[in-house]
Amino acid sequence: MSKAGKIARRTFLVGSAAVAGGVAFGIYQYRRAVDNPLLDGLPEDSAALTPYVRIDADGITLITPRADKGQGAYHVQAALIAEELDVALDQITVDPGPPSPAYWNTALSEEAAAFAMPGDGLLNSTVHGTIDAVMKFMGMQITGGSTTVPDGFVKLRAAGASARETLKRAAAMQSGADLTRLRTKDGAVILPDGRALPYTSLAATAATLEVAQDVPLRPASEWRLIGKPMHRLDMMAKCTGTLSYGIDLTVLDMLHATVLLGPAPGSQLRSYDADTALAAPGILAVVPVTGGLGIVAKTTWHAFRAADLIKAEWAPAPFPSEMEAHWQALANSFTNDHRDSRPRDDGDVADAFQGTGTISAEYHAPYLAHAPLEPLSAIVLVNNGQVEVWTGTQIPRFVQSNVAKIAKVKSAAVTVHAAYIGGSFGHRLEDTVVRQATEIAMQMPGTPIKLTYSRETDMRHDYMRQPAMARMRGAHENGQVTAFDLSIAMPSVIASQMGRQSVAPPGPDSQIVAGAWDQPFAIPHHRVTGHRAPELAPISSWRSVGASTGGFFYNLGLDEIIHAAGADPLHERLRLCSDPLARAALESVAKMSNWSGPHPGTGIGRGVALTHSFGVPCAEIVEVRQTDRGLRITEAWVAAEVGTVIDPVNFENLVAGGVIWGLGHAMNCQITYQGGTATQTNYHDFEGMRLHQCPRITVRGLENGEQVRGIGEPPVPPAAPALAGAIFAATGVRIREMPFNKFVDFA
Amino acid sequence: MFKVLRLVLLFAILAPLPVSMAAQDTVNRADGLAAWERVYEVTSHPRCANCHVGPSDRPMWSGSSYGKVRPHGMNIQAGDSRIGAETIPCQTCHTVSDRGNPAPHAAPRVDTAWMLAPPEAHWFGQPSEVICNQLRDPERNGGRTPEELAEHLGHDIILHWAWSPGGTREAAPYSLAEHISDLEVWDAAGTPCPDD
Repeated sequence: MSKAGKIARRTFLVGSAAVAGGVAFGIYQYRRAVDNPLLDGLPEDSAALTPYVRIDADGITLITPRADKGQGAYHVQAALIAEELDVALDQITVDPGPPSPAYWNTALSEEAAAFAMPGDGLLNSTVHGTIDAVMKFMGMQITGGSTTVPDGFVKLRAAGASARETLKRAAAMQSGADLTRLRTKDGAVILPDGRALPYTSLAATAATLEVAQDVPLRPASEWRLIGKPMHRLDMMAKCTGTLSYGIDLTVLDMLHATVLLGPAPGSQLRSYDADTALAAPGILAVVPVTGGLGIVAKTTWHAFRAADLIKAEWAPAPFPSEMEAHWQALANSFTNDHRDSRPRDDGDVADAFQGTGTISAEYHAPYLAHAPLEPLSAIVLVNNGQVEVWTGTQIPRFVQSNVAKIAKVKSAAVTVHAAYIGGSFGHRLEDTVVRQATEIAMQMPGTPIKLTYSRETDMRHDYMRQPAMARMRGAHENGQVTAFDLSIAMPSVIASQMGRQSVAPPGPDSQIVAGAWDQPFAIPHHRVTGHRAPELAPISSWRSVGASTGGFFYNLGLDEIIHAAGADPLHERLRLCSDPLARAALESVAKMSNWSGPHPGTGIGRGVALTHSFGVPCAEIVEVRQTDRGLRITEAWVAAEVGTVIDPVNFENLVAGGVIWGLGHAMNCQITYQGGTATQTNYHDFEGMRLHQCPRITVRGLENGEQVRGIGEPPVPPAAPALAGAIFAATGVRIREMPFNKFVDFA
Repeated sequence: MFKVLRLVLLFAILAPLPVSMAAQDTVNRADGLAAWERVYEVTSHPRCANCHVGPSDRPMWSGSSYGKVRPHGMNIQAGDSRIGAETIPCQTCHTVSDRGNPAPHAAPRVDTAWMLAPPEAHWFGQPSEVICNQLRDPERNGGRTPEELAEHLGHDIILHWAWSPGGTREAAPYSLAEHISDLEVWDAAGTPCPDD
């Protein structure tokens, strides 16, 4: 049993801590007490029942520390707490809470443990070191890896249950009623005589009690909320335009700033002339920041205008200036020197390619920007040794410690207010914008500085999705796939991303082979090799991370061998599928789509793909039709195995969003570098899927597995290869690289 | 950029370009055909042809600043009216403004409501002789004499925008004045077409 597994069990030990004015609940990790962060500044008549529940005379607040970037994370976390706490969703307020070790993401640690698979010697020898490093990084309060639900599924319900039972004890004490005859409903303890004591009236008493521990969780048959469609908590505000995202926040007397950065991320400022900018209306100051200049003005608009007036000389990009060199670096990495891992090596691949019936191909996946609708922003106030930060972030603890370093204060002196995020897709796993805002704020102490990136700066200075290349060899015999050898080369996402947090993980990068090495197909001779290319342009986690490229290559390769073998892409996948859960997903989409082969009719094509990523087997079928205006994507069917669906409506929306995201980028998007800078700067040349291009998407969540899983990322990897398969079926055009609009027109 | 565009617009509004036709007998056929070739360069240029798309109800995105040739994004449809779908006319985005909106991703603006040219004025992808015959055919050119065509160019501000579209957008070739002059020469030569 891995270390991570043991830690995951211990996480749920709950203890109490005496504090002035009451008692609160802390979660222990590593058998070490972690202070309940809600105790700071808690009024005397309030109770902080576990780090997830705060009750005072004004109401019930559920703490939802995983960032909400549109995926419904606050809603789902609140529902899990509310399920056991017996409050109605409309009775509560949600609050992302402060950064705290109490909110460590333990599911990410489990995800890290999955790297410890037997296999390649290199992987084995370094795996423990890798896990420790990943734990150190991922064990922090972080939103990512589709872990919000798996992390919170037990933990948040346990928090709700502990708080509920403690409130019942308070009610027994206050009323003299028999504890065993008390029940709870809609935010109140119901006494045997039917009287309801609202939780808010019990908070002060509860705060004096020992916490109820080891409360059994309710069986699924008693769930009121889980598994049923709910009104999402943020929906009214979003639909009426009243929800404030990070970019909407204002602080009294704040000034606005933007940054002028070099043409390439990391290119240094050599010289500049800001005289014209400084004479522009509304401009207040031009100050140095890491990577360029900060422009402070009365409004964001004034800052943007002034930034355009600065003449600056920049050093060349610290990576190859032309795209061709990036591809060449990847092509050069298919050597033993660059070999990073070989986590799959079944049968005898070398032997398998001696006979006839072998094919080979090369695939490319480009850089991609995260391009969320809300550009990056942060507000920072540095004042008398205290720092306050308002920003949308997936890594509040890193923000806290990095801001503390820049401001030369202790982490405890940095308050981070997490904001709603208007789309992220991994973009806000980085905190460059907060660091720059802090640098500017340090030069203007006492004044809140709101730094906003322009869309163009945001896209050009994104830390992109990794570019990747794959080489495939396949063999078939008697209409069946017999051998599949896939080699993938890409720079290390983890090294680039963690490098910016000063963490250097040892061992191979599992993301190079993610979505490829552990796929549930029992091909007799089967090898997957990861090659680590040198670092090129800076890269970061992009929705589904390594699986976004690995799942693409794997399914493209499998499709080509199946086609060469003359087999049906779905039936051959089913025949090869060695995992019952993945098989059920494939069978499910086949049934949903009434699969009758890739060519149901003239000019209509269907493609299928399955990717096992983030613990979720996700099968997709995409249908395209040839029209006089180009290819129209008409249908998509998706079946994903997640153990338990928390909210079917939110689930369906998240899956549909993932499909649209995967298809849209496959169709239209790439970031290319020319002269050391990203060519694409805005949505006009980095186009998402448009409304009229969106297919009907039919979603089914399967609940056969025991483990609950997250669904933010798994729908993404199969979308692009399923579309490629459909295009091949409809047109005969075999697409081996993104974006597909280089080869076909979409209606 | 704004200044240039404003000047052009101002000039256009206050003083429609005067058109003085050259005497027909002073221009020979070769000169006329040479002038036509320049007119054709203008009419077939993406800046002009993108909206002269014939029976299609979709304007095109083509030209050096657009990348791959494709229909206008967002599934834009001009409809039978050619002014856009009735609920979303072109001017929803191409709003009336003296600010040109020069950023590459921004819908360009000019002081005239945008619309597609009528279907019979089909220029996009058409060869020289087709456009030439079309322009001298009153049935298909809005009942205009060549002289009136030239005058029409002088009046219509959206056409002036083609020569100063702002931002990184490529302008139509030559200049408005040269284009009008070429039309005059072509007319004076008896509106010859390459396939005559």
